[in-house]
Amino acid sequence: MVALGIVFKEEGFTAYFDLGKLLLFIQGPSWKYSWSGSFYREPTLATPEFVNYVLIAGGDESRVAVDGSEKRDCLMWKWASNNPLTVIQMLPVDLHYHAYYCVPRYLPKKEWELAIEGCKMILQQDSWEQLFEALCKPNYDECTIDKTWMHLINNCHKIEYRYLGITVSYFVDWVVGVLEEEEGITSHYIE
Amino acid sequence: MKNIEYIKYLDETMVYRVKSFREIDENTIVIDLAHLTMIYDSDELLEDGYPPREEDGYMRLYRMAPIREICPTMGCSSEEFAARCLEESRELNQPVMVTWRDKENGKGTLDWFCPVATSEGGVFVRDSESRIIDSVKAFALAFNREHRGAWEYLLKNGDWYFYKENSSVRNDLGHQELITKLVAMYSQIGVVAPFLYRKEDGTYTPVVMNKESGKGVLFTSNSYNEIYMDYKEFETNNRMILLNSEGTKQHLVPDIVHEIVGWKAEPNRDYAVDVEVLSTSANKLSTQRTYRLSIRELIEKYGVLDYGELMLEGMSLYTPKEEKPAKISLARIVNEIDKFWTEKIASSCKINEYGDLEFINGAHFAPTLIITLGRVVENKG
Repeated sequence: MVALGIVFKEEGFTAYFDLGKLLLFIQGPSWKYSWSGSFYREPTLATPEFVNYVLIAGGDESRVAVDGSEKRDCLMWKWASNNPLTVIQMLPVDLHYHAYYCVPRYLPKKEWELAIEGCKMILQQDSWEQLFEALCKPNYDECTIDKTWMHLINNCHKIEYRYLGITVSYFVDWVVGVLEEEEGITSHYIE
Repeated sequence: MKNIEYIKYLDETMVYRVKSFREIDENTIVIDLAHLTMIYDSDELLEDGYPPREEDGYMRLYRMAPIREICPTMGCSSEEFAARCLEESRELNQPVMVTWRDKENGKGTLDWFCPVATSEGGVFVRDSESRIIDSVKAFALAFNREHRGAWEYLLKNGDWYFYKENSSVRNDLGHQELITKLVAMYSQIGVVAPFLYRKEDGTYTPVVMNKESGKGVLFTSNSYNEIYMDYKEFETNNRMILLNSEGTKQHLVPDIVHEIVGWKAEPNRDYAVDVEVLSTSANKLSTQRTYRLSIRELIEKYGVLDYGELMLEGMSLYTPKEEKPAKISLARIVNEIDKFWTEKIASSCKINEYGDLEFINGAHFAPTLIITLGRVVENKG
């Protein structure tokens, strides 16, 4: 047993008590469930305990409010290695690339286009080899440096390709959805 | 900082303990020190905030008044005093170092100078730079070869950086970029010899220089074994001491260096690449061999090893000194192998501008690596 579930009498309130971390989560009606095993959407979880990567809809570079007052849409996940989230972290978009990488970074819509196009390509293929052919073939010579699809494939090819779909699809849906309303997305790295 | 404060400063460091000291006069103090090393099998913390340590060596340190042409207290030139320190070092059978108050910027420093023997006696060289004198001699040998392969051997023995011209900004060139730059510099500087160059304050620093033009490279180093190179035009009327090549680590720049001249991929034979390597000796004689580099075999042999782990072991204090180079060398092989390979990638390669065999997944094999990992399948020499 890893957690105890609690249902309150008042409608819309639930909670669970994490027995491993001894933390009680009370989830009111405004709690934003991600319904994903990899991502979080609830802003109060934007602490290093739960997440490292935070994407926020829009160009406001202020930190996510963790007191329940945050209104902006967020997508967050904990740093991961050798699982599909690694692919998201390595997308050839300058998500957090900065000399002081903890500073917020706003990227306009056009900067996301290559990443989203590639993500859609990932979803259309069945293997890393097919992905290599689809993404790297047109510019073989340029595919040998960091921040390219070749760099991503070199680092992630040991991840089972069939497990990528759900994670990448969720990510793409969120980014595309946000960019319909906003001109860009701001990223934070917290630790 | 007064002498007595400096004694306290030394005693509070983690790596030194003051055993005794005596003041020669108001300007100069001589301090006998023990060097301390951590006891690794203990995890307790002492009152001084450091882990338990034990003495593993002893040394003598002179702390003197601001440096001038003549060592003030000793009544002799700095060269003569260096010779006396060398003699004292031999008698005591332990290092003798010197530090000057004006080099401390108001704070204590462990940046000391040690005497280096020369044909005329001795000179003072910064301790970290005295440790790279052999590397500088080897650098001169490699530089005069004007051959990329010579650098390949030399440069892996340390972290080398090049300052951007006329600035103190360091240029983080990759290994191969640095090699290319230095080979190009040969045409600008020409044949060089290794020297100790006398700076204004009377201490010396290792350089390589063309004797006629005065053009060359000045070397500085720090305690992390990083070596910084700075292109300079030296004043040849300044005092220069030629470093003899005796004691040069010849193995750093071997007689035979290599150059790739061609390749032929064999995708049906388990990702094998036959690489023609032109072996060029210093006097330009050559033999030609073909080495078979089997990517499949390399993946099977090294693909299970972890690059990060090997690098960590290569740099860890716990790894025996003699095992470190092998660990780092293996890490470099794993780094090249641990990439995405397909039959198409294994058969799509080129010789890049640095002379390495490069595949489209970014893996690149220097000639040294190819003759180490491959097996000879043809010898036309």
